[in-house]
Amino acid sequence: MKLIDCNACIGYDTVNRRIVNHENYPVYERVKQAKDAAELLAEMDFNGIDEAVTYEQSMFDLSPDAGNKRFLADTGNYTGRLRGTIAMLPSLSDSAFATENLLDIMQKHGLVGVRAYPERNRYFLDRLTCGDVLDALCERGVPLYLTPMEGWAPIFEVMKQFPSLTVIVYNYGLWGSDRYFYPLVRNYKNLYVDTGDFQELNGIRAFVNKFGSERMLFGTNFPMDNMGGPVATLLGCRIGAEEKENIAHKNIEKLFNRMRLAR
Amino acid sequence: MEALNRSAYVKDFIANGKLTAIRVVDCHTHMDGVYGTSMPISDIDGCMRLMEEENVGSIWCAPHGDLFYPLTPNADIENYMAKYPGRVRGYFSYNPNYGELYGKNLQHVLELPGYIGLKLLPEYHRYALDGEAYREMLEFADRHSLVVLVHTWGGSAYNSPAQVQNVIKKYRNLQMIMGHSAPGECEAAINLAAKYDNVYLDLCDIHRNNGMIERMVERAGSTRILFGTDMPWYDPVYAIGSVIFSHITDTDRENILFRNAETILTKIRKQG
Repeated sequence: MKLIDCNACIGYDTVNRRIVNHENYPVYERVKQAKDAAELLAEMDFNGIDEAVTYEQSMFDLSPDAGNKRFLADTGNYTGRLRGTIAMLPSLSDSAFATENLLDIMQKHGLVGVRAYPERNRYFLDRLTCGDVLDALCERGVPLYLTPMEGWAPIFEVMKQFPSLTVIVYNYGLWGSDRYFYPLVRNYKNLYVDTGDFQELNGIRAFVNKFGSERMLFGTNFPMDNMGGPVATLLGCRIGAEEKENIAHKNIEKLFNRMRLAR
Repeated sequence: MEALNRSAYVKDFIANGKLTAIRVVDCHTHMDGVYGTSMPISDIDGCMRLMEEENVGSIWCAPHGDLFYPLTPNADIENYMAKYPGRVRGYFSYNPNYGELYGKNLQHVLELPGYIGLKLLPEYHRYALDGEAYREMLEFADRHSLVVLVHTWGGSAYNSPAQVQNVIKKYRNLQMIMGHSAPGECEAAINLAAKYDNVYLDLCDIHRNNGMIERMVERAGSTRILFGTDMPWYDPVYAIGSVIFSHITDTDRENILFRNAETILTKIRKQG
């Protein structure tokens, strides 16, 4: 089965490494990281993963601006079997992140998503602060990657204000989070769940039985998670073959095809 | 694409959607609901059905009710051991805040064949592992080479590797499993497992961290590691994937998935 990992990290964490148990509950524990694309690809090969959507850890640790530049400087990070994402900031305070610039960079480098770390960079991901960029992402079907590592309320808030936004929720920790996921998935048709942290007992089958297989994306959250756990969880899940294919690669391929970056 | 991992167990899993060649032993499970997490399945019967689907042969269990509800100490595990003999082995949960309620049935550990040892939860019970209230329990476990599953966590004032070391220096016969292997201080947990032959690392939760299993195997050896999941918190299939896809040998995988657990059971001396 073709596997596309919707969320894998390249680069070293300043602290190796903050592992999310659930929101606002981190543990710092050393993991084996991929310092570059070649190391990530080697691990993908070992685990039978065909392609991955990537980012650079420095987008979070250092700054969105510096992290983006480091990531984009090496085309190996986002070409071939890898596709890249870029981090955003509010354009009002950080003019380099104006909507047109962001979309131009994405189009130029064939990027497939945007990442926001609002708490980390001290802004609100809302209409008041980020309305211009978020309206553009809605209009163009560009996925926004959000982690609830510092709380779920900002995700609920941005979805209330931008209900058509395409959002991929990742790095949410291993504790069962259905009480957050389920209302988001039920109410917002473009919200997707990365399976990387999804360890719940019978969790994927329960999710698919309730919402269908179109709202989950295979992911690894590498290197906080190893790749083998998520691979086995999907391959061993007792759902239909077609449903597995959706989660494994078809859903994210639809997202790739739905994006309209050209102005 | 085909995985470059050439493990026979990876091939088995990919071909069958589960391990068919071996029956896994899960050394760290609970059962039933608990605050703070969502669980699509949490009851013993549902977990047994899922275990059959995933070829998990047996579990070592301390139900949440026995750990968090002091008025009926160990009623749940004794029910589950009676209902599923051989498939559910029991930890006698002990809450030091209600020592008299729990302690009065301690002889059940020797009398009921399903019991294999004790489950201690110092952080949640807010009583340090090396405190006086645990002494009688630990002496009892040491006398009979029982398994003692202790919740461990890095930086804890109750159950960090430092507290484990204080205890294990005194008790050289009990078989201590460091539950979760002290996340945040896993290196110290590995050092203890490498130093003391009656201390084991537990993969519960920590298995998912990339490279962790390889580090444990390299530093402590695969004979010091046990497969655990916290079921019904988490699905064994994820942890099985962590083990079989890791960069270790198939002998290491066998040790972790069932062989070490079997060896531990042979050391218990209830008649001693």
